[in-house]
Amino acid sequence: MQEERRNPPAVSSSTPIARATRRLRRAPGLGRSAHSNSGDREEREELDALRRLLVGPEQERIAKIETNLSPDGIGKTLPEAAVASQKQGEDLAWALRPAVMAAIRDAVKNDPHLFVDALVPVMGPAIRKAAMHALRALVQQLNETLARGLSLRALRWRLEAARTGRPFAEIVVLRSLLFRVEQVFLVHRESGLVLHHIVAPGSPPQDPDQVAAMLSAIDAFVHDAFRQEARLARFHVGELVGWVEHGPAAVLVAVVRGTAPDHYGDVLREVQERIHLQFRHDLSSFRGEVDLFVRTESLLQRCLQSEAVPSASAGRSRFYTLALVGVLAAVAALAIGWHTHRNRVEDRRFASYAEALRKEPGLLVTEARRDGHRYTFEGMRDPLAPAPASVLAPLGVRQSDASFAFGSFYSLDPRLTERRAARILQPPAGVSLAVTNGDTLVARGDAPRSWIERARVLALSLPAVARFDASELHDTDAAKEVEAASAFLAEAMVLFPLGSDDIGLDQRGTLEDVAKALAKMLELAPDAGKNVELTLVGHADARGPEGQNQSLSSQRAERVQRELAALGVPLSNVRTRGAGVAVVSDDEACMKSRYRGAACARRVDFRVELQ
Amino acid sequence: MMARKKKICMLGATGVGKTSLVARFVRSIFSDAYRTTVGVTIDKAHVRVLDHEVDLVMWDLSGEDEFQSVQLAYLRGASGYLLVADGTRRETVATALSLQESAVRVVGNIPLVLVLNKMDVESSWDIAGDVEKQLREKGWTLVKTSAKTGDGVERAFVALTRAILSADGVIEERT
Repeated sequence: MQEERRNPPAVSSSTPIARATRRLRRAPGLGRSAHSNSGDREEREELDALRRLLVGPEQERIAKIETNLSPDGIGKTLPEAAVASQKQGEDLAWALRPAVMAAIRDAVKNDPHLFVDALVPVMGPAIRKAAMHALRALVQQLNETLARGLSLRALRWRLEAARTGRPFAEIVVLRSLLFRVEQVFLVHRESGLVLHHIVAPGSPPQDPDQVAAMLSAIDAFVHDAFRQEARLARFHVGELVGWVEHGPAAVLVAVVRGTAPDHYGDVLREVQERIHLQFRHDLSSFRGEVDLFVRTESLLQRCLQSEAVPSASAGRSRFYTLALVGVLAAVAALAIGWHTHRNRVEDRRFASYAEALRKEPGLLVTEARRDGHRYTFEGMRDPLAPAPASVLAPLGVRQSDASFAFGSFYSLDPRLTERRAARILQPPAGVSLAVTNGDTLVARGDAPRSWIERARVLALSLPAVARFDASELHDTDAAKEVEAASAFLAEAMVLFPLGSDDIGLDQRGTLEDVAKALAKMLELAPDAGKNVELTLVGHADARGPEGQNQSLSSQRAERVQRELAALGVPLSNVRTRGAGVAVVSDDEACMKSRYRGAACARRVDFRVELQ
Repeated sequence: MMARKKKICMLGATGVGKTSLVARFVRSIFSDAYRTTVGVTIDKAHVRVLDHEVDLVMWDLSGEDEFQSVQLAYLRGASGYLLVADGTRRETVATALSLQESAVRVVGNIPLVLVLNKMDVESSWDIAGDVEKQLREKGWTLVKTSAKTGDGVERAFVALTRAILSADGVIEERT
């Protein structure tokens, strides 16, 4: 048909179609040219006939389209078109989304109440449910806060709030949120059978099937007893709180020790929804095949939460730890102090030991060490010095506590020199040795001549002795000889003839004996440590005048003095004296002598004084 | 072989020995007080039928008598039940039948095993042979037990388990 319109075939001029065509060509527009009423009518009828003939089917279709495009028509076809489009895909929804969104925005802008009225029936229960959850949590928190309001812990929290400047409620909530989810049950709602069950490590084991079944029973019991749509949502058993999250086919039950935060309910809800989404087929066709639900393990693990807030006991243990550390530190400080003190005491004591050794003549300390209670001393020791151990023994040092390493040497200390001299010279009793001026050995006392002579030689061979001083040493041998000479002189007398001071030949021997004794005495007296004073006393007999006799007695004494001097006797310490007339009867010396009487009276005798 | 769990119930008049039967079979972790408060106690037992391991979670419902009625809501989700009657008391059979009808309304036709308890005193039974015959004609499995001596107890539970597995199509129905 369309082909024919585009390429009209050649037609005969006599046919009605040809006629009508001609008329159409003449006429500038359909139905507008009319030459006469009758002719017009005829033409119109022909045209109508022609129209029916040519475009009849199109007209019907156009009319139908017009009908479909009318509001009524579109109202009928649009839902069908939308359904058909949905079957093919989401193109229609995608295409319409911007327009719909714009329309909604416009509508909300123009009349918000319209949407509010529409949403209230839907949102009301949802909001109420959410508010109910929040209120329940708030009441729970308030209850616990009141319960702890007067406790010691609460007092501590109040102090913490005052100290940190945070609201008390915040502190309470912070410190209250201690919880641990111990068990999670996934329970088949209808049968009460446990589909899967997980337990936190360390939680007491129980038979999950019996517990879950009993929970289901209680839930059913409560539900039936009170005829309420609400199901068991939370149960409290001592410190345990059961959180129950109901789903269409399964119930999630978490057993929580302590107080879980309210948003833990969201976790349970989310897990419950995920389980229903992932396991909807297994849940709907459940016939006791619980092994299938092992795969919920990872989801259930997400419910096994715990929150560990630093607890009071942790604080206490921290305090105790700090206290313990403090005590230990104090003990350590005391121990260190005590040790230091002991060490100092020990050091002082050790120093005193070393000092004692250093003070000892003949000991030279070159090194002194202390290792705890062990002492080591090193140095040099004179053989005549005491052993170091014997020096320290009186100070309380045990031989096992100390070790000594001392080499030998000769000490020049005068005390050691004296000891060495005494050891070598071995002085007789009554002789003392001393070192003066550092190098002079002085000997004091009485000693035999032989020892003195030996000492003079040996002393100079001793170390540190340069001189030997024997000036205070008395020769006991010399002393004896001096005493003997003194005794001889005390009895000796030189006799004179009557009225003369001449010494007769018979008296020469006596005079020489006296001279010898006197010379010897004077010579040895210094060695014997004696001082000799000699007085020559002249006498006369009673005859003749008294004045003459006095002079004669003096002359006789002087005559002996001259005779002795002539014999070589040094007479520096010799005095003379004239004693006058000697009383013979009283004269002891005279009585003892072989000269008696007047002859005995004419004499010179010797008075010796040894000092 | 996949492990299974099945919920079963114990139904019957008061005093027919339901709890004693369960006690013969397992040891309960719940005290008897639950039965009077909540109306049920829960026990668990493991049963092996052919190669199939089944955990039975047993809901022991409190008995029906003139003072209390069984909480039939507890039957929901059960895979089967033991219908227990006391052979020495004819009226308990009637109660059992009545309970069975109620149970059907709640859970439909699920497997059951009719248990006639107290077979140790069968000589003094109050049930005539015709009653027993009528019961058998219902097509139910009938097991005589003695909770006192333990006779037949395990057989009853195994029979119920077998019926349940058979209903599930897990095993072939025994002819």
